[in-house]
Parts: sequence; structure tokens; C-alpha cells
Amino acid sequence: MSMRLSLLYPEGIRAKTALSPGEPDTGKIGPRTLYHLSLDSTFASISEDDAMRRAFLSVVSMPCLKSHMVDYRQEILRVFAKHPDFMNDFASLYDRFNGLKEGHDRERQAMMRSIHNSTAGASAQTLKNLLQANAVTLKRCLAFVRSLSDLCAEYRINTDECKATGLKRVAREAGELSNSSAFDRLTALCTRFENMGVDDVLDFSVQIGEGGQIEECRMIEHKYLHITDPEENNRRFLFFRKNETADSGTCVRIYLYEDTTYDKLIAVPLQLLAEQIDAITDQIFEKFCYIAPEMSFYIIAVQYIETLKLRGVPYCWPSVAEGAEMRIRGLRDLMLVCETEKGAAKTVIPNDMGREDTRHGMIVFGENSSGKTVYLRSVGTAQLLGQAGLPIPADDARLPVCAQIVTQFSEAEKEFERGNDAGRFEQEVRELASVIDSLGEGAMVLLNETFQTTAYEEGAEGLYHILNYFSAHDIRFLLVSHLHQLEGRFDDGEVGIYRTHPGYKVLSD
Amino acid sequence: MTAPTILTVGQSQTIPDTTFDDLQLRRLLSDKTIRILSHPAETPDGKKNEIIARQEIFRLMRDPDKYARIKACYVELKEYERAVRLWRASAVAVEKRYLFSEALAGFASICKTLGTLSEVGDSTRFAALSAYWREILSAQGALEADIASLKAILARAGKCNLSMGERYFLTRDDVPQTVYDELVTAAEELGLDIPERKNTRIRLNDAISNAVAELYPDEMAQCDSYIEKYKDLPFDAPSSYIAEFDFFYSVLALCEKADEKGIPLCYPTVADKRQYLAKKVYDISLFIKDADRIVPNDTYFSAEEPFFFITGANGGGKTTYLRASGINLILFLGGCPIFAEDAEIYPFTSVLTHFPADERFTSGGRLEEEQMRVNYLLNTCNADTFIVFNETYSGTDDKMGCEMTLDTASKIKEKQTFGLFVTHFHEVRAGGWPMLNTVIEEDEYHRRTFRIVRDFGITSSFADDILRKYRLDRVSLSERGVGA
Repeated sequence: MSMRLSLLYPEGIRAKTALSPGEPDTGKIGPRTLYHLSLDSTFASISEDDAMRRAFLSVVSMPCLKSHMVDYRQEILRVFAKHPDFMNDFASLYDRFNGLKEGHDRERQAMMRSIHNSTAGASAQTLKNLLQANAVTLKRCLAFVRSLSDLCAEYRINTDECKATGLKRVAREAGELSNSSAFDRLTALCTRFENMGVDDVLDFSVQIGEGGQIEECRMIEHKYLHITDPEENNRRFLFFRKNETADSGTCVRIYLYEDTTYDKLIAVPLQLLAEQIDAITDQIFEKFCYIAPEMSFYIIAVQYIETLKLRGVPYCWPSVAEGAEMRIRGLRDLMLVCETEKGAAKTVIPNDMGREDTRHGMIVFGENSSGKTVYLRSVGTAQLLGQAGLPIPADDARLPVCAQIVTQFSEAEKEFERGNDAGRFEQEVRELASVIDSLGEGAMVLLNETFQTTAYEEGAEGLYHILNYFSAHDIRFLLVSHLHQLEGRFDDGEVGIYRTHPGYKVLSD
Repeated sequence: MTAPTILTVGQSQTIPDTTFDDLQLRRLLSDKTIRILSHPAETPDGKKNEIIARQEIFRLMRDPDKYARIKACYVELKEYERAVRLWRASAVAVEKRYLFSEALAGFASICKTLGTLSEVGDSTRFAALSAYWREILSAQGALEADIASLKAILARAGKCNLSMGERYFLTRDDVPQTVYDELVTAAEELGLDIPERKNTRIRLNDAISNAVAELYPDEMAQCDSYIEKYKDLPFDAPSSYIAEFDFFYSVLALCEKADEKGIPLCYPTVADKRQYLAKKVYDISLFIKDADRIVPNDTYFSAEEPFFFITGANGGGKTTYLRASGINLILFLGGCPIFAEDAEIYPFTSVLTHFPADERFTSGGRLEEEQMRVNYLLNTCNADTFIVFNETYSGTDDKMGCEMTLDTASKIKEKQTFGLFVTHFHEVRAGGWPMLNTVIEEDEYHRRTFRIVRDFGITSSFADDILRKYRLDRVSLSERGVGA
């Protein structure tokens, strides 16, 4: 039971922290990419829940590097989008489960602190309380698993009707656990511990071992013991048959009670049980709990789809493949879609983007305010959302897998920023150098008006070599620029040249 | 038959405590080790044999493979000693029976281990020791079988159930499954991993012990019959080797420090004629100061020139030389490796020292106190003694001090005693005594260093260098202003 279930990662979660970077088969984005593409503000108009939005964007910033991972998310999202009630119940169940875990972690810490601070070691009563508390948590954990299984059954997740393998796995795992007889036995044991009374008789199996010390002391059921008080037996025996002696028997009475040994004899097995119950609980938490923060991604994703639907903007589920092909038809800029009045969203101009092989990059030239940056943003957004397993506002799309998606937009001067003693161009060069330092093969770089803070000829010369470097290292780029000096430097077909046209259309030469 | 020992320690202390204090050895070695070193074997033959026997063991212990095997034996001895101690100390009847069984098993095991110690390498002591313990073990033919039987009986008697309600009971019922097992089984069936938990051990109290004895009367009786059978075994004898091994480990710790500093060590040849010849002897008391550079010197003591004066520069290493000579001689007499390249040394009887005493602790004046101690040493020493004087008589004027120094030296010469007298009275060289002096040399890093060499005396103490360093030399003082 080692796999941590995930609705984002088909192979389960590897990292211990939810939604942390570094999961297998995920890429990364530049530190300012979400900001440059205005995805933070765009999704702020879709959902007002800051925490959920942050969680959502953190998933978006770890693009999938495998097409099957994209498919995995798309299948799940389709189910949630189709059955929002299921998603809400599922999320609500997980919300309570998450609360249970957080409460348990807090209580455990407090209890451990109390045990640790106790100079004489934990008393039997403290450990009885710990055992009861742990049993209650495990029982609630088990109840969650059963509810999860029931919910999935209700929506027929575990049938062939459902194509979402991630959800089916959750349903199967929860079902297998809750349908086992061991599950009921475990629940019954928890109930037993939960109902332990202060005056209950406690029975233990004891093993004296090395050093003549008790090396194993485990709780047992009272029913296994045949307790006959030898003292009373003897009294009866003497009363009836005065001339004979009683057998030593298999039960003897212990006469001294006031001793810390007994407290230890109770405390040790109770602690052992409490710890094991805690370990079992931890494993159930570990298996299921990582889905809780992932639900933020799906909740926002469904809201995003609803927004597109509401605004009458078509969307498609892009096929994302490991090849280099990037072809999008009827791509709308999401930010404009979200910002425009409801009825007017349809007026957002769609553009196409198509290139058999984007390895050698594209340059978009155009006048000021002719839609170059919007085009760049819409392509970057489409790539990022598509690679996160989300639909995109386009008629149809085929996207490549990019190991990194990085942006370099010219920004305001940072003259007064601490430690910055460079002019604007140097600042830009330094930023670009930092970007390039971080790039690997298979990255996509989106460059917005780069090197226009110096003489254009010199800027173009410098940029030309950088773009060539990208091409040589299998780094895709999309540059929007005024630097027409670049055009003559490339051979025909070496890069894709696009130009903006009236009506915000972007067309290739 | 008494168990053989690893060390033969003399009956009387021939190297006084003050020697160890003056040479700083108490700061380098444990008290027990000092005690052994202060009691060398008594007869000349006994001394030689003892030194060679100990050198054999040190050689074995300096070999990493052999060291590991000896260390394993030592560790087992410590565990065994603990087992015997716990058994003897236990006052809880049932616990005592279990502890006896462990002590008995430990005894059998340590007998075997000691019986094979001779296999580690050539050592007359290990050979004798192994032969003895093999013999002890073979005399107890049924020991192994009895231990197994005793353990089985105790394992049987160790299973019981405790019921803690209004009254407490102990029962012998067979319990098919504990609640813990039930929990673990259910969890495992669900595919959950149950971590191993370490059991917490709880000591029996008298009440439970009595109840166990009552519950298993036959088993307890059987145990008692084994205790009776083996009660006279020499349980305590193996433990006595721990202190003896501690002696070796204490000295080996010094050797390791020397290894770290690249200081060589050697096993001196035991000379038949009276001499103390050594090449490149190191003063390991400088380990205390964590000195990174220790300059070695040679020793030249022979029957022809048994006694030297040493004079020379302040801070030139005279006392270091004295300590190096004394410490390494004591180590040699204790059968230990010494910190030198090579040496051939006679097994002297004693090493005596005369260092300046703290004035607060003397009843009379300093000179009287010094003379009193000198007289005592002169009465004690003989041809087999090695004696060192460090700046004795420096508490009086030059003339008188020099006279007293030469007088003492003459008396020592009469007794043919070996030794060394560190003094700043350069006039002693006029007496034609063998002399050692400090000379300045430059090492490979062009650092100034002092060495002690056989010479005829140099009158300068290089005091000016030191004064200049502190701007108290003539030129510095003439340039120095008033105040700062």
C-alpha cells in the first residue's frame, strides 16, 4: 500500500508535500511566466478563492512532460465537468478527510509533547487516552474510505462507463479496502478501544526473556483466561475435604499491587497498540490525502470551462504529444475572453498558429498595438494550459511537450531595486542570461520585444546569435519584435516569420 | 589452578608517583595504567621477560586485523562481566535464575573465545591463557547441553498471562492470538505495512516473580539444580582481563595520536648491558598542548657516560628533552612501544625525577626543600636507576647553585646512576662532565628550531632573541618611549 494516490500524476505522488515541484515527469516554467502571461489576473476573474487559485496555478506551473499524463487529467476533468455534483461531493468528502488529518496531526503533536514532557514517562491512563484517540481517528479514516467507495459506486466510476483511470483507481482502492473482511475487523477493534472503560479488566500475555525481564507484553482477550482464585479454591477445598491438599493449578494470585511495575505493564502494550493504530492511520492518510489539495485544480478547471461556456467561446481538448508539431486553429486570447463583457467575448479575434516543426522558432513582426503581444500571450497560455491537462479556447489544437516554458518580457526599469546598478539594457541582458542559464533542451521561450532598449542594429545582432543558440539546442522560441533587422539574417525557412495584419490577424508570410 | 594473567605486575612500586606527575604522564594515561607502569616486574629476568611479553601483545594489537579480533574478545569480556555483575546483584528470585543462565552461557562463550586467543598471533601470554581456558571448558563436558536445557526450561516458564482487574492473577493459559496480533493481521490483510516495534523491557517485581515461581514450580526446581551444579565455576576470573586489556588500550590511544601526527614508534631491544640509546625520541607530553610540531632528539646514555648535564637556550627544548627521555623510558619499562625511531635500552629498576616544587607547599625555604628531596633521591638511587633533575638549585645564587649541582652530580657518579641534569649553570661544563646542548637549526620550511646535541657547552641562552621579540632587548628599549 505504498502508492500515494493522485488525480494529477498517473504514477502517484512522490514528494511528501502536496503540489510541490519536482514530481516525476513534470517540467518547469520561468519565475515570471504566469505574470507575463497574465494568468494570475485572468484566473482571478474566474475564481475569487485565492487559496484554490494559488493551488491551481501551482499545478499549471509544473507542465506535464508525458502525453499520457495530460490524457489522465483530461479524462478526470471531463468526468468532473460532466458531473459537478459528483465533484462537489468528492471534494467535500476530501475536505472533511483533510480536516481529520490536520486535527489528528495537531492532537498527536500535543499528546507526544505531553508524553515527552512527563518526567516519569506516560501514565497508563494517558496511554489509554492516546489509544482511544488514535482508535477514533482510524475509525473515521476507515469511514472516509467506505464513503469514498460508496460515492464512486453511486456515480458508476468503477464501471467501464467511466474512462478516467485516475478516478477508477481511487474507486478501486477504496472499494478493495472497504469490501474486505479485515476492514470490518479493524473497525470493530477501533470500536473496542474507543469504548474501553476506566475500570475494565486488562489482560496481557507476558513473555519473560533475556535478563529475566518482561520483554513482550501484549493485550489479550479476557475470554482466553481461566481465572479461578486459588485462595477461594483452597478455602472451599479445605471446607469440604480437610485431609487432602489442593493442586497448584494454572492460575495464581498476585498479592502486591502498589508498584510502578503494573503501571508499566499496562502502559507498554497500550502504547504499542496506539502506535500501530497510528501507523495504520498514517498509511491510509498517506494513500488518500494527497488528492485533497489536488481538488483545487479540478474545481478551478471546471469553473474555467464553465466560464468559456458561459461566454460562448469554443474550447477544445488539445492533443499533446512528444513530437515537435504545434498547430492551433481558432485560438482566442483567454485574458481578452475573460475581460470582455459576457456577450462580447465572441468578438475576440481568433488566430491560427501552425508549424510542422517549431524547433527553429517563430518571429512575429508588426506595428504597435497590432496584436503581437496578445498573440504571444495566447500561444503561451494555450501551451501552458494544454500541458497542464486543461482545455484551451480554440477550435482544435495539437501541442508539443515542452520541458520548460519560459518568458522574457521587457519590463519596467529596476533602477531603484536593491542591488541593481545596471542600465536598462544591461538589466535585460542580465535577465536573459539568467533565463538562458536555466534552459535545457526541449524548452519553449517566449520573447517579447527583446533587446529593443539599445540601438536596433546592435540589438538585432545580439539577438540573432541568441536565437541561433536556441535553435542549435532544440529550444523552441516565439519572439515578437520590431527588430526587422533580424529578418535578413536568417535563411529562408530557417525561422517562421509572421506578421500582424489589420483586424488583429496574425498570418505567416 | 589459578587463571594466568596477561600482565605480571611487581609487588612494590619502584617508580614513584612524583615521576608520573613531573613527566605529565597522568594527563596522558589512565590511573590504572599509571599504576601498572609504576610497578615493573622485580627481577632482571622477570623485567626482560615481561617487557618482551607485553611488546608481543602490543605488536599484535597494532595490526588492524589482529586488533579487531582482540577487540572482539575485549567487548565480549565486558558484556560477560556485566552479565555476571547483574546476576550477582539481582535480588528477584526468578530474574536471578534467568541472569544465571546468561552468565553461564557467557562463561562458556568467553572460555571458548579466550581458548582461541592464542590463534591471533605469537604471544607467550595469550598461549598460556588460551591453554588454561580450553582446559577449564573441556573439564565441563556437559556444559553446552546443560545451558541449552536451562534456556529451554526458562523459555517455557517465561510464558504467562497477567490479568489486572480488581485482583491480579497470573495464568498459564494458551492464548491463540493477542489483540495486537489481531490488529496486525487485519492491517496486513488490507495490504498495510506494519512497522516493527521495539519491545520495552520491564523488570519483574517480587510479587510477579513469586507468582511465576508458584506457577512453574517444576521448572524452577530444575533451574536450581543447574545453579547448584555450576556454582563453583570461576565466574569472576575472565573479568579480571578487562583491566589488563585496558592498560593496552590506554597506551594504544597514545599510539593513535602519534600516528595522526606522523610520529614513529618502535619496540626497543632489551639490552643486557646498562644503556639508554635511542634515535629520534619524541616528547609525547606535547600532545597535551596539541603541538603540531615535535622535534625529536637522540639519547646517548651508556655505562661509560651514564649521566649528562644539559644546558642551552631558554625555550630551546631542554625540559622537552628531559621529558622525552623519562617518558619513553617508563613506557619501555612497561613493555610499551616507545615514540622513537629505534632504541636499545636496559631494563632499569626505577625512574626518579626532581622538578622544582611549588613554593607554597614547602615548610622551609625553597633551597632546603630542594636539597631534602635531592638527598632522598641520592639515598634511593643506584646503578639501575635513571634520574632526572630539572633546574635544581635555581633558587640560589650562581656560585652556590653551581657548587651544589656539581656536588650532587659527583654523588650520582659514585653510584653509577644514569640520568640527566638540566641546568642554566653553564659553569658545570668546566667539570668535564658529558654535556648536551641546544643548537639552533632551520627546518625545511626555514623555521627556526632547537635540537639537543652531544656537545661541550654553549654559554649563550639566546635570551636576547626572546627579549627582542617582546621589545625588551637593548635596541628596542632605547627606541621605546615612556609608558606604552
